[in-house]
Amino acid sequence: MNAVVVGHAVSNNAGAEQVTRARSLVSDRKVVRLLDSRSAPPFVAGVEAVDSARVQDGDRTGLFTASDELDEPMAAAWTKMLGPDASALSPAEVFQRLMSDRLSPVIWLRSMGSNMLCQAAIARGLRGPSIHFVGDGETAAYALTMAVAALEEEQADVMVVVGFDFPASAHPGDHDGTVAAAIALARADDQSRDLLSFAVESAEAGRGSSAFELLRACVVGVEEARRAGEAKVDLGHGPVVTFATPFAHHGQQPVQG
Amino acid sequence: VTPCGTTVESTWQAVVAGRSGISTIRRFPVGSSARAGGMVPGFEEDVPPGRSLAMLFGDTAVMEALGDAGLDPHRDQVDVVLLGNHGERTFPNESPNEWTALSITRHIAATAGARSAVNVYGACAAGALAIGSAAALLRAGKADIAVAGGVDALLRPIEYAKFAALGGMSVRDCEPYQASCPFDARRDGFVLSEGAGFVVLETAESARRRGVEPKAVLEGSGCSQNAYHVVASPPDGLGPALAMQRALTQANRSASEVGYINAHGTGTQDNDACETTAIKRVFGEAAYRVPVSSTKGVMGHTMAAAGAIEFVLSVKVAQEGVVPPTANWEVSSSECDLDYVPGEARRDTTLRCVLTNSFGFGGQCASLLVGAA
Repeated sequence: MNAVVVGHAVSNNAGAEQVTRARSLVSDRKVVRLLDSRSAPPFVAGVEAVDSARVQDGDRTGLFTASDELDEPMAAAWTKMLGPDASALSPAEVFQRLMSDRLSPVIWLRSMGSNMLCQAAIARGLRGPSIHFVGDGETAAYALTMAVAALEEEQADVMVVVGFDFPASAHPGDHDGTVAAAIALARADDQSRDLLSFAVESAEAGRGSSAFELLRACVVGVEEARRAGEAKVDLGHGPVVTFATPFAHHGQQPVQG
Repeated sequence: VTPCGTTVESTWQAVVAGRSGISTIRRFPVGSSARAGGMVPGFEEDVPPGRSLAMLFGDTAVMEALGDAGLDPHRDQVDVVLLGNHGERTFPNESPNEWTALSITRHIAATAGARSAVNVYGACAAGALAIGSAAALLRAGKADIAVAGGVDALLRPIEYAKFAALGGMSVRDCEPYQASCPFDARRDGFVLSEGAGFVVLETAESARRRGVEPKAVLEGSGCSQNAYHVVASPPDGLGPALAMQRALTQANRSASEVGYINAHGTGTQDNDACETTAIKRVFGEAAYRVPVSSTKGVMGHTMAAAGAIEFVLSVKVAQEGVVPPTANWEVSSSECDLDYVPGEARRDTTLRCVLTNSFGFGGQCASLLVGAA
């Protein structure tokens, strides 16, 4: 079996704009009320890739995500949860404060590493295979491999893989550094151009890179291949770039940006 | 490594006997909130200063798994470790260390002598997702030997405060060992526990080459998303049902061939009703004939480790032909009306196929199908 890329997107460094963009992608803003600002760019990239793949059946569409460590530096997290005097408190005082009324469940639900995956799945009704991996480019390569395996084993018809990273020195309120790239894969017949080998080559070359860098390399490579095929490019959505692809599957059409 | 024991055998014996590992939390003052917790034996009252319990538990469990598989981390090459884990957080000024999920994963990979390490973040489904992912890598030819599992040590004040804020833990007025009562009408939440579980997964060819006998076969794995809510379970059970169905499909098994279901069964109102509905969706009338039990009745909820520990227990079920009971199950309810194996363990020598479920916050669902070797 070949696997082809049927959609892809890159979302980067747009901070609050991406939160706005994320909200515009859902019909009901309640759907993304728990989407934290750092997860907004990967949410946008993932949903754009899903949409560009023209998904027909959410139950047969899966989403794998890979990122570096989400955990905020604890000092910043403590400040957010407990106030600026957190570092001066004894453990007993901290616990007492947490158990009173200082800890909102929303804070930590929003900080879950899989939050973007969950929110994107809710937004588009995706009930296919669903896993978030934490690590580097090699981890993202494993995610790609497993996504292809899910297609080969017919556990899904479309698999979307998102890679995203956070800046190492993230401040709780600083979401401008989050970058994300996504591709959507589908099974292909033998005549389709197989871009899986490209993705795997990129993946294997990605050792030492980040999850985002690996997925971006895939997106760029796909785009170069697409250009060589003289296909049309659709750019849109401001800082978000959504590409149409000629490697459409099962009658999917290029997406107008 | 569980509240019931620090080896596979000691945990298995306790689970089969319905002997609880849950007691009163004494590591820190819990006030009027949930009092019951599942601490690993030897760590009931104190935590070694400056040490990560997750690393301690993980090292112990992974070395037992490697030894059981005849592997020496200094001699044999493990290709990859996949670990479900949430990190381990301490208060400001309590410890100079900060153990993130990835740092714990890399530590365990180093202990196992593995070439690479992957953290699988799937909340309470993470351990099962790690095992299913490892199997996918083996099938894809990316690894010959993988170590997969889960470890969590969240009985720390910060994590306890998080779960208390969410209202997910049992606060029922009862003895600690009675607090976790999956599928019982009196259930009011899970009991927070800690532990670690690992398996060594290997291709059949690699096992033959090494001359080792498999303990069981991972016949199928399936995962899915609820696409419903961050923490609430879908009342229609669709997400969990899809995970179970995918595991069966991959194994080329029908539901009627499953001899036992090791349920996620946390003891929350939401989860247990949803899981029961999901089992009915997949099994139809056969749902009322297949025994379903939750081992969380005796060991509480070990979070990211749960799916891995329960997979190990499912392997034991397939090996021994013994179905463990659901401890503390006494009162039935209209929404939970299956055979939850109350009372004592049952012997079933015909049992060849076990399904184990894990579901997590974030909507992730995982099911693994274990076949006797």
